[in-house]
Amino acid sequence: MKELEKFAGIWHKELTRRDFLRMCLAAGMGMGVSLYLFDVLSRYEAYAAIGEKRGMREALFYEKIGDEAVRCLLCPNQCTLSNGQRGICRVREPLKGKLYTLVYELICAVHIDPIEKKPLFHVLPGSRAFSIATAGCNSRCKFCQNWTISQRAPEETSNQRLSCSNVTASASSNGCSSIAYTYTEPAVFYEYVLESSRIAAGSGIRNVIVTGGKINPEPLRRLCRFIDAANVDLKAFNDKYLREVCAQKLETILQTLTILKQEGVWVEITNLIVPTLNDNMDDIRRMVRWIARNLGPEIPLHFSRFWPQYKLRSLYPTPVATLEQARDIALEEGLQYVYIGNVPETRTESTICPGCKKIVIKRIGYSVLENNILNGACKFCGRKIAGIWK
Amino acid sequence: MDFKKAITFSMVLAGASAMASQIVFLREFLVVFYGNEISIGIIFASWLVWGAFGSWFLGRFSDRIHAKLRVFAMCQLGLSIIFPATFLFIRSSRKLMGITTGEIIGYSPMILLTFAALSFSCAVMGFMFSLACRIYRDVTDDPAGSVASVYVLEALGALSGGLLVSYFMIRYMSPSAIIFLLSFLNMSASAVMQQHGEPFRAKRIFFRFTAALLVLGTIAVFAGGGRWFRQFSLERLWTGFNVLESRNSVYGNITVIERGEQRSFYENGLHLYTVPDRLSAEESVHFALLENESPETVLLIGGGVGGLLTEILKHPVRKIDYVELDPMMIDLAKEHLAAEDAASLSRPGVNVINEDGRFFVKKRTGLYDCVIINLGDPYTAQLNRFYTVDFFRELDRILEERAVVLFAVTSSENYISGELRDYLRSIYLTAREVFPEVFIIPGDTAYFLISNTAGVLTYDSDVLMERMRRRGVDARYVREYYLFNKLSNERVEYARKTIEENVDVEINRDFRPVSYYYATVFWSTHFDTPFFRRLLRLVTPANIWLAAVLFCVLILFFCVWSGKKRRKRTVLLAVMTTGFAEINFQIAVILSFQVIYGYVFYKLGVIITSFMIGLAFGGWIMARRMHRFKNDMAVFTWTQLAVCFYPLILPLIFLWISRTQSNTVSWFGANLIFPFLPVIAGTIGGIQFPLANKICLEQGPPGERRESQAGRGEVGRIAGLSYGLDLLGACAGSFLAAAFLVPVLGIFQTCFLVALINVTVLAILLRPSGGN
Repeated sequence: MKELEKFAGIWHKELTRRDFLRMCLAAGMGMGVSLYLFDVLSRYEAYAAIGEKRGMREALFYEKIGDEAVRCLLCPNQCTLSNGQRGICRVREPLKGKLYTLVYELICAVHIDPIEKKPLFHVLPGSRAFSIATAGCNSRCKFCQNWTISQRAPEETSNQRLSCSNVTASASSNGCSSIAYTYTEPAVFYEYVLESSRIAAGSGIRNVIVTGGKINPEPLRRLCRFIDAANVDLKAFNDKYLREVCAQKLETILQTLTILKQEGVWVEITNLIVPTLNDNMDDIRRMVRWIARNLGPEIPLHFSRFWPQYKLRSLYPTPVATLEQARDIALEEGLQYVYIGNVPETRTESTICPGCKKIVIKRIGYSVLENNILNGACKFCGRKIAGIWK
Repeated sequence: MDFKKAITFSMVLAGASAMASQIVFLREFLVVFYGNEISIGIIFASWLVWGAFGSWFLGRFSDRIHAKLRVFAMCQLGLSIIFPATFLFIRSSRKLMGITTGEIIGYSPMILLTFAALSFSCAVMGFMFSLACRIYRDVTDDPAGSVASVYVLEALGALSGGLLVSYFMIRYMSPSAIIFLLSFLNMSASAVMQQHGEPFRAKRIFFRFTAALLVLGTIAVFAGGGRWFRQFSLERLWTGFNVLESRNSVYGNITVIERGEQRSFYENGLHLYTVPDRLSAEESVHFALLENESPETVLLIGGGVGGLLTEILKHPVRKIDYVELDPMMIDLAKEHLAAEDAASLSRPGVNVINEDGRFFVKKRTGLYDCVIINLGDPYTAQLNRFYTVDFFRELDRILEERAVVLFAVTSSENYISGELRDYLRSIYLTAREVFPEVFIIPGDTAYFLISNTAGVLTYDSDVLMERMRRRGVDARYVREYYLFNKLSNERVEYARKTIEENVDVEINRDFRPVSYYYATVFWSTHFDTPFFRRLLRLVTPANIWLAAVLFCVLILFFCVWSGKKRRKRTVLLAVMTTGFAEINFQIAVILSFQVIYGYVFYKLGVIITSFMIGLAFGGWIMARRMHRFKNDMAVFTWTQLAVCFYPLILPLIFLWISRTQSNTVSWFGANLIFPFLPVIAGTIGGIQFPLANKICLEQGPPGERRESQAGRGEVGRIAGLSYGLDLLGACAGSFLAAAFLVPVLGIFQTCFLVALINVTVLAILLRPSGGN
C-alpha cells in the first residue's frame, strides 16, 4: 500500500503544469488528426450528391419521411436514409428527398454461362444464360464467391453501361436463351431487373434470377410478372447461423420462396453446406420437411459443396460424405429432385424420373449428355417432369 | 548463491526469457491469425512499444524505489505467472473474439489482441531493465557502466535463449512446456533474489510462499497438469476444429484436422490442403501436364502429399522430383493420410527432397519438362522468392525445350478488382520478362501456365482432352464437361484483357518484393472498412520518400529548437534512429540471405545470433573504454557516422554476392560474409547505446562533469528512457520495414532511406555548437 502511495506522490510531483498542458495538447492534436484521417478514409462519398449521373435513376418502393429523409422499402433492412447516406446494400442513396438507385443500367460483371451453373437443372437444359450483375448486396455472407463486387459500392467497381434493351439484344446475339440476373443480388438492382426483364419477356427470352431471397413481398410480386425462374439460396434452416454468417433472417427467405411459388415462378433451391457451421443434419431434415410440405416435393434442391472463400479462407472444404448424407435425408423426406453441386458424378447430377426411375436427363458437370424429356414428360413412361423445357 | 552471481544470472535470464517467450508467443500468434505474416510486424511492434513503455514510463520510478531488489524479485515472480497466463490468453483469442470457424482476422482485431496480450509481459520486462541498471549501479558505483553491463548481459541472455529455443527446444518440447520452463527458472531466480533482498516484515513469509509455489507448481506440471494445460489450450486455439495432431518443427507448426474421412493440413494456422480434394489436385497437375506434349521429368515444389503426386502418376512420366522443405510434413502425411494417398510417396520414380525449393532450383543441373509450384500466394517475403524475375531466370536454366511451368494464385472468377488486377499483373509481367508465353486460366484460383517456347500452350480443350484420352488418364474435374466453360473464349478473354490493361505495375524482384505487397493489399480488401484499403493505396514510393523527408525536417526542427537540452536530445534521438536502422539491417541481411541462398534455417539462426553477439561485443568494448574518452561527443559522432555509412555499403555487398559466378565468393558469402555482417551492425549499435547513456547522465551546466552526482538519482530514468527510445525505433523499423519499406521501395532504397534519416541526425551532431 505504502509503495503505491509513494508512486502516486512521485507522479504528481514529477509533472509540472506546463509539462502536463503540453502533453495534453500534443495528445489532443494527435488524436484529432488521426480521427479526422480515419473518418475521411472511411466514408463513402455522397455519390448522388456529387452528381454522378451514370447509373442514377429514381428508385421504386420507398417512402418520404419529412423533408429530406426517406425510407427504402425494397428489402427487410428498410434503411432510413437522409441526404448523402448510403443503404446497407451500398447502391441506394437519397438526394433532396428522393431515393435513387445508383446502378441502373450500370453493370460490373457480364459473362455467358451454361444455365446448369446457376444452378438451374430444370430450365432449358443445355442452354446458355447471359449473366449480368451490378455492384452491391444487402447481405454479408462470409463465404461469398462474388465478394469483389457484392461487398462493394459502385464507385469502387469498374462499371459499364448496358441499357435494358441492349441486355436483351446482347443475349440473343450471343445465342443465349435466357438472361440471368446473378453474381451479386438482383434484389438490390431491382429497377434494372424489372425493366430489363419486361423487355426480354416481350422478345421471348427467359428471365432468371439467382437471389438470396432478402426482398420485401410487394416488390417481389411485381417482379414475378416477368421472371420465369429463380434459384434461391436457402443457406441454412438456422436463424443463428443466418444472422452471424450471412446477416439474413430465415423468415424472410421462407416468405420469398412461398411468394415465388404462389406467383408461378419456377423455383430451385441451393443449400451451401459449410462444414462445422451449418452441416447439422437435424436442421437439414427440418429444412427438407418444410420444403416438401410448403413448396411441394417437385422443387429441385441442390446441395452445394463449400470451398475456402472470402472471409472463410481458413476453413476446409465440405466432405463429400456430408453432402451425400444430406441428399439421402432429402430423398427420404420425399423430395424428388435432389442434386449435389460441385461434385461431378452422373448419379447425383442427373434427373431421375420419379415414376419409372430411369435417367431422363443425364448430366455431369455443366454438360447435358442425354435429354430424354419429350413434351415436358419422361420419354419412357410419360410421367410429367416439372420444369421449363422450352 | 552470492549476490553478484545472482544478479548476473538474473540479468542473463531476463534476456533469455524475453527472447524465448517472444519466440513462443510469435509462433502461437501466427497460428491464431491463420498464418498471416503481416501479424509478425504487429507483434514486434507491440512487444517493443510495451517494452518501451515499461522501461521508459515505469522506469522513471526505479530511481526512487528503496527496495529495488525486492521489487525486482517480485517482478520475476510476476513474470513466472504472466508467461503461462499470456500463453493461455493467446491460445484463447479466437474463442474470446467469437470469430466464426475458419474466418480470417482483420487488422483491427489483430492489433487489439496483440497489444492486449503482450502488455503485461513486455511492460514488466522493460521495467526490469531500468530497475536492473539501477541495481547494478548501486553495486558497481558506475552509472554509465552499469547500463552497459546490463545491456551486454541481456544481449547474451537473449542470444542463448533465442538459439536454444528456436533450434533445440522447439523440436523436443511442446510450446507450453517451454513456457513452464521459463516460469520455473524465473520463479527460482525470484526466490534467490528474495534472499538477497532488503529486509521487511513479511520477507520470510514471502520467500516461503515463493518456494512453496515453486515446488507445488513443478509437481503439478509433471503430475499431469502440464499435459492438461497443453490439451486445454490446444482445444481453445482450434475451437470448432477437430485436431488429430499438432506438431512443431524448426520451420513452424503443422496441425492435422479431421472431419469424417477428410484430413486437412494447416501450417502455422494456414490451410494448406485437404485430402481428398481432387479438384485442387487435378487442376494443379493436369493443366500443367496436359499442356506439355509428352512430359517425362517433373519437378514438384510443395504440396505433393495433398494428392498432387497421385495425379501426376496417372501420366506416363519417368521421374518426379518432389521438393518439400519440412520433413515433418512427409512424416505427418504418412501417419495420417489413407494408405493409397501416402503410397504415392514411395512409388518408383518419385524422389522426395527435403530442401528449400529455391536453393534446389539454383544449384540443380538436370532438366525438367514440367515444373509445378504448389506453394500458394506470395503472402510472405519467403514465398515471394518463387515469383520473382530472378527466380524465373534460374528456372529457365533447368527447363527442357518446350517445357511447361504452372503455379496457382488466388483470384476471382466473375470479376477481377483493381487490387486483384495489380497483384495478378505484377506476377504476369514478371513472368513475361523471362518467358515468351504466359497463359492464365481464370477462375477463383488463377493458374499461370508458362512456357519457354512459343506455340506450346493452348486453350483448346479438345487438344487437352485428346492427350488425356491418349495417355489413359482418369480425372473427374479437369474434363470436357467443365473445361468448355473454364477455358471458354469469353472468360479467358476477360481475364486476359483485365490483366493486360496498361496499368503501371512493378515487376517482382528478389530485392524488391512488390508482388508480396500487392498480395497484402489484396488481402486487406477482404475486410469491410475501406480505411486500411485506402491507406495502403496511399503508400507509394513517392509518398514514402516524402514522409521520410518530412520526418527529417521534423528532427532538425526538434533538435535545433531544444536549446539547452539539445545535446541530450540529439543523442537520445540518435539512439532511436539507430534502433530503427539496426532492425532494417537485420531484415535486409535476412531477406537477402534467403533470396540468395534459400531457406537454410540453421544459417539463418547464425545470422540472428551474430547480431546479438555484435551487440554484446560492442557494449562490452564500450563499457571497458568509455571512461578513457576525453571527448564523448566526438566518439559518439563517429559511431553515428558508422550508422550512416553501413547501409550504403550493404546493398553493394548484396549485389556483389548475388551476381557472382564464382563458387568461392558464393561459399565465402554463405559461411563468412553473411554471418559476419550482423556482427558489424550489432557492434555499432552495441557501442552507441552505452555511450549515449553516459553522455546523458553527464548532462548538467555546460562544461561541468557531475557524473557521480547525476548517477545516483538518474540512472534508472536515463537508462529507461534510452532503452525505450531504442525499442521504439526498432519497433517502428520492424513494422514499417517489413510491411511497407522493403516491399514498396525494395531493400536497396530502404537502406538509403535509413541512411538519410541517420545522416540528418549526424548533421545535427556535426554542428559547431553541437559539440558541448
